[in-house]
Order: sequence, then C-alpha cells, then structure tokens
Amino acid sequence: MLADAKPDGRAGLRPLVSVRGLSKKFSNGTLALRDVDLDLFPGEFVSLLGPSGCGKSTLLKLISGLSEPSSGAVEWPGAEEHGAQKWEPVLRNTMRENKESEHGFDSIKTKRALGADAYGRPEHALGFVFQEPTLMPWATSLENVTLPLRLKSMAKSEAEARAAGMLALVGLKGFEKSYPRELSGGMKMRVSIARALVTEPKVLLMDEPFAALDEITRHKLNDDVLMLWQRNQFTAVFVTHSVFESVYLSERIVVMAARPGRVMSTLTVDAPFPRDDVFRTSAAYARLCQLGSEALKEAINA
Amino acid sequence: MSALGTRGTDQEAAPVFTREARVFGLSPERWAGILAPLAVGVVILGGWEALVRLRNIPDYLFPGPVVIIRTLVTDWGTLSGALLITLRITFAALIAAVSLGVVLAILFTQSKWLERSLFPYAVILQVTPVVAIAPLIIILVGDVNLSLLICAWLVAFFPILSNTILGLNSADHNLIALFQLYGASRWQTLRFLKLPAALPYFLGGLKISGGLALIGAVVAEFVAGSGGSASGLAYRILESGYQLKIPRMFAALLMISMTGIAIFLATSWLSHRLLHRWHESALKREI
Repeated sequence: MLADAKPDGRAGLRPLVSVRGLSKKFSNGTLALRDVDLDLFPGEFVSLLGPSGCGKSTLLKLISGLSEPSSGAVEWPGAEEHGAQKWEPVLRNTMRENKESEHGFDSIKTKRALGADAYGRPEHALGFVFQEPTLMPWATSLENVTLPLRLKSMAKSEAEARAAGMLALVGLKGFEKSYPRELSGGMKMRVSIARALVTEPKVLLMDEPFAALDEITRHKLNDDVLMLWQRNQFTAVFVTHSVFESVYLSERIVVMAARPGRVMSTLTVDAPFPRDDVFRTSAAYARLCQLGSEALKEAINA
Repeated sequence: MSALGTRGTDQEAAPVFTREARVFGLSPERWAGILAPLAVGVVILGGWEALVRLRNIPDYLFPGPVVIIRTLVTDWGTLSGALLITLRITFAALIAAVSLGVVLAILFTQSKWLERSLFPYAVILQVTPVVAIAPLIIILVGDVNLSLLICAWLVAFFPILSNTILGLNSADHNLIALFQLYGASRWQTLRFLKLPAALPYFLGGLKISGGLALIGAVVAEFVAGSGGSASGLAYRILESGYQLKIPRMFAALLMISMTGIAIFLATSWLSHRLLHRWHESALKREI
C-alpha cells in the first residue's frame, strides 16, 4: 500500500514538469534546497511534506518561476513537445524584453500559435494558491477571480461569466459582489482557489493554503480541492506540514528534510478516489498516517 | 455539478451586517459627533461675547462675535472678492500638487535611480520655509499671481508625493508575485495593483495638502503684500490692520478658517466615498 519508491505505473509516461538537480542558495548563504529531483506527471496529486525550513515553499516558488534556481533546472517536457523551449523564469523582466527584440515579433507569434506563451511556458499552465488568501481588498470576489483572465486580455463579459462559474463551483454563488472583508477566512480561501483555477491551469501549486483555518473548515476545503481536482484533472502540488492532510489528499507524498532542504523519501498512497469521511475514519487511513508520521520523524531526525 | 454544501462551515461564519437606528437620517453616534463640538462652540462664543460686553471692551481692541458677523455681512462685497482670489490660488496650487505629486511618485517607483537622484531635492523644497523663499520667487518670477501659485504649490506638493510613493510601494508582495505569474505588464501592475493600493495613502496626503495649499496661499499673499482690487484675504487682513478696522480683520480671519474647514470636510468626504467599501480606516470596529 505504501512504497518507498518511484511512482509505479507511470514509468512510461512523460512528466509534465521535470525538476532536475535543483539547488537554491539564498543571498544570506542559507542552502534552502540541495539537489532536488522531482517529476510531476499529468493529473497526479502530490504533497510536499516536511518540517518548517525544509524548503518546500521554496521548491514551489522555483517550480512556478517566481524564484530562480542557483543550479539545476525546472523543465516542461510537455511544452517542448509543442515546439517551445525550456521556459525562462517570469521574474527576469529585462532579459525577457531583450529576448523579444532578438527573436523578432514573428518567432513569438509562431510560438504563441503552438500553445505556449512568448517565453516558452505553456499557456495557462500554472495556478498558485498562497498561504494567505492574497485577495485585492478593493475588489469584489468576482473582480478578484476575473483578474487572471483580464491580465490575459480576455474580454470583460466573457471573463466575468467564467469567473462567476468558478465562484459557483467553489460554493460561493451569491457572494460575487462581496468584498474580501465581508467574507470569513475559509470563504476568502475559496475565492483564492477559484482565482487560481479560473484559467484552467495544468498545474495547481498550493502553499499550505489551509494552515490558518479551523479544522472543520479545513476538512471541508480538503474535500472541495479533491472534488475540483477530479473534475478538472489538473496536476496538484500541495505543500503541507500535516501528515493527515497529505495522506488524505495525495497519491504521492514527497517527504522532505531540512538543513539543507532535500527530498528524503517518496510514499505512494494508493487508496482509491473519491475519498471521503469513510476513508478519513478507516483503519487503512490510520495506518497510512502512521507510516507517514514515521517517514516524517525520520526526515526530522535526519 | 453538485454545488458544494455550506452547512456547518465557514459560510455560516460570514459576518452579519446590522442596520442601526437613525435620527433624521444620521445614526445617534453621528449626531453626538456633531452636537458635542457644537455645544463647546456655543459656550466659547457666548463667553467671548459676554466678556466683551461686560467689560466694555471697544471694537477696535477686541470685537465680540456679533460685531464680527455684522462686519462680515456689511463688508461681504470686498471680502468675498478677496476670498475668491485666495480660493483660486489655493485650488490651482492643489491641482498642480496632486498632478505633479502623483506623476512624480509613479516615475520614482518605476525607476529607483530617478527616485534616488531627485527625492533629496523634493525634501529640500519641503524643509525650506515658504516665508523665506517667497520673496525670492516673487522677484524671480515677476508675475504676482504665478509667484503665489508657486509658493502655495511648494507647500502642498510634498505630502502628496511622499504619501503616494509610500502607497505605491506598499502593495502586497504576494499579489505582486501573482501578477508576475500571470505575466502582467508594468502598466497592468500599476493600473490594477499599485494605484488601488496607493489610494488610501494618497487620500491621506490630499487631506494634509488641502489645508497646506490654503496656508501656503495666505502666507505668500502676506509676503507679496500686493494691494489693489486683485488681492486676496491675507492682504485684506494686512490692510485692515493698518486702518485699525479690527472687526474686518477678524471677519477675514474667520473666512480663512471656514475655508480651511470646508476643504478638510471635502477631502474627508472624498476619502470616505472612495474607501468605505474596503479599507480598514473607513470601517467601524465591532467589539
């Protein structure tokens, strides 16, 4: 049921995202990540589990391109298939602009036509849910969820229709005109999830999204995330420090250790989906949690 | 698609907004906020009038409120013309301060080098007393009205600039990351993130600058001391002082104060209109 090995059955499959020898050293000298290898396969649910300071959030930032690796690379083999190159981190604004002028407008256009944006990254590939809801306080729920589409220059009416549909899907129908301050913590997080999913990303990155919520709300949101994952079939990467949460949600748990941040072991959770309260109270779940706790303890003492 | 249920979860924890009782369209709390300072004003004015009458203090030494109001009415022709001139300079200076302050703040936050090279000079302009440079400006510029405008602008400009810079830099870092993730252009980030985030700070600066523009205009008028029909309230005060028309001096002073209060109320109202849906400063705290 639980294996300390590479994900089986996916050996022949081409990973969507491929992390190779990734290291990250902060400017203050801390080695946040050392030599991390990780493949993310289309449609799987992976949790990054580890004690604080093990670099799981850093890894997520590197995958998203919000942060640049000191060495190693994040590759999108799926994107290469469509004629796009290894994608450049989004942060390097100036470099990007130089690139554009070098290649000329035409080459950008052709890449666009092949399903990738001008920088080689597959279009609408990423959604990101932060630890905090990170909503714009001056905008209504609907305006917040519409934002990613508006930034992609989608027409307002179409963007709003899609955003409204996404809000309904996360259970917030009727709250379109509410401002973030009028919503509870769990509802704000739902708006944040709706915003991340409104572009229909291939990969959804979640950075301890429910850590600040009470247990009842957290369980509810875990169920909702699983429902959305099964419905939209994106690849989910979920950062958490809770063994219970990671076992409940994922197919694969990547256990990480701190100082320096590195991958300790990989556990496969092959309980069937959909998972619900029956699974949460089953003996199998308890046993999986115990194994997960042992792996985590090992990582902490390593 | 089965909608997600809401029972027993966060939706039930959504805040409930209650309507409170209103008297003539305002809540009791608002009435208290209006009536309390009004009562203090009545007591002070009554005491002042009583003092002047009981002690028989002559008008040319210290006029009572009644005489001042009467002068205001009889001299309304001259005084209102002067008020209009002062107001024109005040608002022109405020508009110039807002447009230049906001544009410079945006430029400064787009380029760190521009900020580093120019901001110290903005500080020098701010810390130099306007009374000290006003004569210089009047000599250099020549045109009196333009000199007055520049003086008033100098005083009003800095709060807008520094507050807007602070606001533009205070956008949530995770939101900035989110904009980067979606490949937002500089313009989009400015338009959808930085400018709305800066709005409360800008409005705070505007509240200060509104009053300062008036003060700047009055101070500059004092320094210029130009007479004639096209002179503002400050010159009327000077003139009345020379002619020992003390009640008129007080009346002009009253007009300046009232103008300042009106500007403060207008900027406060604007701030409330723009922020009351979302900003913490405009929210009532439930305890």
